[in-house]
Amino acid sequence: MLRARLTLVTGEPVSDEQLMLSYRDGNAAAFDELYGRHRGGVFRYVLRQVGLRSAAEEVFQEIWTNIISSRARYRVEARFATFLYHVAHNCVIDHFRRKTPLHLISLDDDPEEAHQVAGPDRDQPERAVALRQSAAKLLNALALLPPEQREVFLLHEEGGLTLEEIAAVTGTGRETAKSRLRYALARLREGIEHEADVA
Amino acid sequence: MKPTLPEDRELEDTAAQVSERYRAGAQDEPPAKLDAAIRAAANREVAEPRPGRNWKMPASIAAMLVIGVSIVLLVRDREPPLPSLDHPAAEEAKLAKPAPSQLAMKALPRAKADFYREDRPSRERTARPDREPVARDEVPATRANEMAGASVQSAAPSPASAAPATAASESPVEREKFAMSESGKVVAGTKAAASADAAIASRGAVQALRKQEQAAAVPLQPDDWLRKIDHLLRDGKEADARDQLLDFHRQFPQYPVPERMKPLLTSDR
Repeated sequence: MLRARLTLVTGEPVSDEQLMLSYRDGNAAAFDELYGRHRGGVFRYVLRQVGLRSAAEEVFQEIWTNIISSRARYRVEARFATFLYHVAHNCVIDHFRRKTPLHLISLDDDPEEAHQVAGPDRDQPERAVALRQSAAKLLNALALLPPEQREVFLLHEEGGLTLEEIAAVTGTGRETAKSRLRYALARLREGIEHEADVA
Repeated sequence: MKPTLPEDRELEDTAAQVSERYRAGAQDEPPAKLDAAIRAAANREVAEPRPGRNWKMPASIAAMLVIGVSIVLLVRDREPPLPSLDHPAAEEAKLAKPAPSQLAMKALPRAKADFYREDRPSRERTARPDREPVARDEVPATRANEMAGASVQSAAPSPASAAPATAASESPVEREKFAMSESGKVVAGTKAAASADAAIASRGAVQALRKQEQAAAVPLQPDDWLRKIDHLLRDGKEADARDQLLDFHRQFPQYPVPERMKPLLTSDR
């Protein structure tokens, strides 16, 4: 995932870790920059897993509240993205624990809700028209993935994490993360091709 | 992610293909109001740190202080350790252990002991020469040993202090001699005394016994004794008064007992 880098006068990009350290030391502008870099990826990571937009917003706010609260204790022990998505992972798990039984997406669910998950933003119907057909199919296929495979794909795609970082966030081994990612990619590709064949 | 293994490179190629299509439809972003709320919270955090966040350290120090002061006060106010109640017999055996002077007296030859006995100035002996052997033979060995135990509390009295020849005023040395008397029951008396002392199961009882025997060791004049008995009667302690009066009457059979006390001598226990 390409991510714009804040550039100082000297031309050197400021890393996420430096921004977080700067925010820890009292620079609120550093947080604005950091938040701007990760807000979309984290939100989509949450939305694809919890399903409902309202629930995703709630979890999203909880994630950033935790990041803000941990400001004073922050130390650079890993990439900031790893730290951020580790917090996000825990918040999603907490959400599912609070919301038991899990809100599983199936064909019997409310089509409006399913549309929220798999499709484009319903508040912007004009944009849905513009989206390519294959993207919508892929999102549908993503929604049908097992949760573990879906999470690994989202961490890789939205967070830009390596297999080692994904393993650290999810609490598994590197090979497990790799296996899950491979299965997820295979099933997503199959989903796209199957839809294309049907079409 | 920079793959190094062939299988990792293959995986990365597949991911790139899927990623291109995924990005085309993944436009979801948080609403602007949520962005504003989170940024405002971050600014508040920097501007005014929440008070009371670091409450754990002061609370820990305060708790340690309270506990420490409490322990110090408890230790300071604590009384010296009481004698163990688990082994009253051993405790009392210590008390019953005779003083070195008594041990020396025990080691004296019989003739010398008799010499001391004969030389003891005693009004009782002169007044009732025929009563002494009989009375002493009647005293049980346990009583003799109790008297010997009491002698630990008071040093051997001088001959002058033993002038009033009462049983209560007999010196510990004489009591010990009596315990070693011709009946030959010294060993048996000691064992019986140990078992009797073992029956005293509380420190209060031991202290009461000590007080009683200390009081008994102090010679009382007849008038003082009767006055003491009178005080006991006024305090309603009739049983104690009766015991004291019986002892008094045994020691001073000729001394007139007040009329108001005479019923005690004839009353049954």
